[in-house]
Amino acid sequence: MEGDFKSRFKLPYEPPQIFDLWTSTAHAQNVAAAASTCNTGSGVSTQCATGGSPGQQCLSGGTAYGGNCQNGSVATGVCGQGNSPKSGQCYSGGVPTGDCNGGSVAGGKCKKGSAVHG
Amino acid sequence: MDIQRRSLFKIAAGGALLVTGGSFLAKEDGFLWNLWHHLRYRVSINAAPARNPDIISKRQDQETVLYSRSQQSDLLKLNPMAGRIWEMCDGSHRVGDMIRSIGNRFDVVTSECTRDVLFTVANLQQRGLLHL
Repeated sequence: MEGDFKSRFKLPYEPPQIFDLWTSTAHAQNVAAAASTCNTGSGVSTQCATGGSPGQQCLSGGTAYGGNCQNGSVATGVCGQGNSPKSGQCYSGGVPTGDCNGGSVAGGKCKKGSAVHG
Repeated sequence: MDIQRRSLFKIAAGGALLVTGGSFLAKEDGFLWNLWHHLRYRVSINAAPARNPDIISKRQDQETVLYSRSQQSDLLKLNPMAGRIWEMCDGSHRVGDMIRSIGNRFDVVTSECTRDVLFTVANLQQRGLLHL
């Protein structure tokens, strides 16, 4: 009876969650940048362009190195800012990774919004 | 006939003992249960974690922000339940006490509560924010 009374008036449970403020975007997944961290909107490794975030989980508009990006993000390679890479996959608005020259477009499997080489 | 009866009795008694002993060891908060969680999370149910003195906690609405004095920056944001666990890490509460306290107050099954508390403590400990 007492147990029933207690369980009836227990508060709703919300599992504990921890948000990392130090690495507010994500940890880099490539070995070189894995040890580093970056803040929102800033790149951490030499492979990250300004405004980019490293690794697998980059934010929209960010640039990743060797990972998957969300819409509007650019996956990496050795491309400089404003360049499009040669191979790989990209989402709408994004360009994939690989080698490219300045001002060139990609040669991989791009979806709507991306430019393809050849 | 008599021998057969005795043998049957022995088998039945042995079986009952096995079932009782097994359930005693494997029951929640039993020896095997504690051992399993200890191995899984590397945190003992009997440990009494204490907060790193370098860390200051600040309340922001319902959430708790952990600030590092040495790094002069905010490190983590904890939701209310994680903040509650953090507050209980004062070196006097054992992990088992935290699980019981949360289980008594919130609508959660013990196994889920145990997993969550151990995971949170292990996470904070790995970041150097708690000492075990």
